[in-house]
Amino acid sequence: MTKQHKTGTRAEWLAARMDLLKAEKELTRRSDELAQRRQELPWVPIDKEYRFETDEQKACSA
Amino acid sequence: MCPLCVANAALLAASATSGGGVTAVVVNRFWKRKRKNQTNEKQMKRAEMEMPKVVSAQKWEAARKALLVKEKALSHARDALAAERRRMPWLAVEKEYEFDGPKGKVSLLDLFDGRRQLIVYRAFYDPDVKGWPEHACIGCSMLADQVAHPAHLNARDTTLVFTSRAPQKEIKRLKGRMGWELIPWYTLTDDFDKDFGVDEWHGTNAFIREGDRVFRTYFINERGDEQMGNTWNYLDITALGRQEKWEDSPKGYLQTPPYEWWIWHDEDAA
Repeated sequence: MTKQHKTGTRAEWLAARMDLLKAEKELTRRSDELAQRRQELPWVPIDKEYRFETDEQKACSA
Repeated sequence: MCPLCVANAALLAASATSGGGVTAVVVNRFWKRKRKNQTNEKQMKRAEMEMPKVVSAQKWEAARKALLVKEKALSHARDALAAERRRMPWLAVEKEYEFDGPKGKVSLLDLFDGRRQLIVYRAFYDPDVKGWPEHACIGCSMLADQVAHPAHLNARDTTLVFTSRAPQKEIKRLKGRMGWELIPWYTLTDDFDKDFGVDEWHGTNAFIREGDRVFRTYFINERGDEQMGNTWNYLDITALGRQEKWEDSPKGYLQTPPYEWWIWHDEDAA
């Protein structure tokens, strides 16, 4: 199924990887930037009480 | 190896050679950064944290929806990058490599464990690394803690292994103590780490085999390794990807519908 996949020399492979490395770093930075935007989101106060059960005792949300 | 471990290894090297040089530079840079971080922490404690606005649920939902557009764009960019990785040329591995495993000497081909693809993470665990012999490098240990149940990678014909220089006896003890029993972990015995860019720093190499012929298909390190550990991101650095129909892969790649290959990890995947 993938028998025709192109193979490369060490130099060709490295050149292709270095090209992609730029895209990898760009994606990392973009992901960091989005995480920053998440931090800047406003907050919503939780005014309702929620209760959860544990195997030992009742626990509340705060 | 993480910055903490580099600093420790460099200190050992510096004390052994008394020269310093490059290693001393690494140590200085590391400790400067650490001091800077400590100062930042103190300043943060003193200054009140700047709080985001507090809003109604409706306003919050609107803000989240606006961000969702960016979230989706990032997911698509990630998919597009994975598609480019799948179009990398393959590099034939012509040298023979030998590893020590729990059952003795094995070859690179053996590490595939009969599967089509192999992912090799280089962890730093040896006498030169801080924490020895109780612990592996702190960053490598953090990564080991992220690793998902191997059944899911195996379900996509892919094997994940860790490698380091420590003898098998120490690796066995470490895996038991840290709860990493499910990660196959081999001992490096030759130039494998040097040849695949992981002799001085952690990194993840992806391989594929055609019969007995092994090819290197991709390599991720530094912050790229932060994303490793979960099944999706591991598959996204492999030559075959997630092997799902929606993916933009070279023509003729085996693809199945998403979700259908999912298993419970206690099912017999074989």
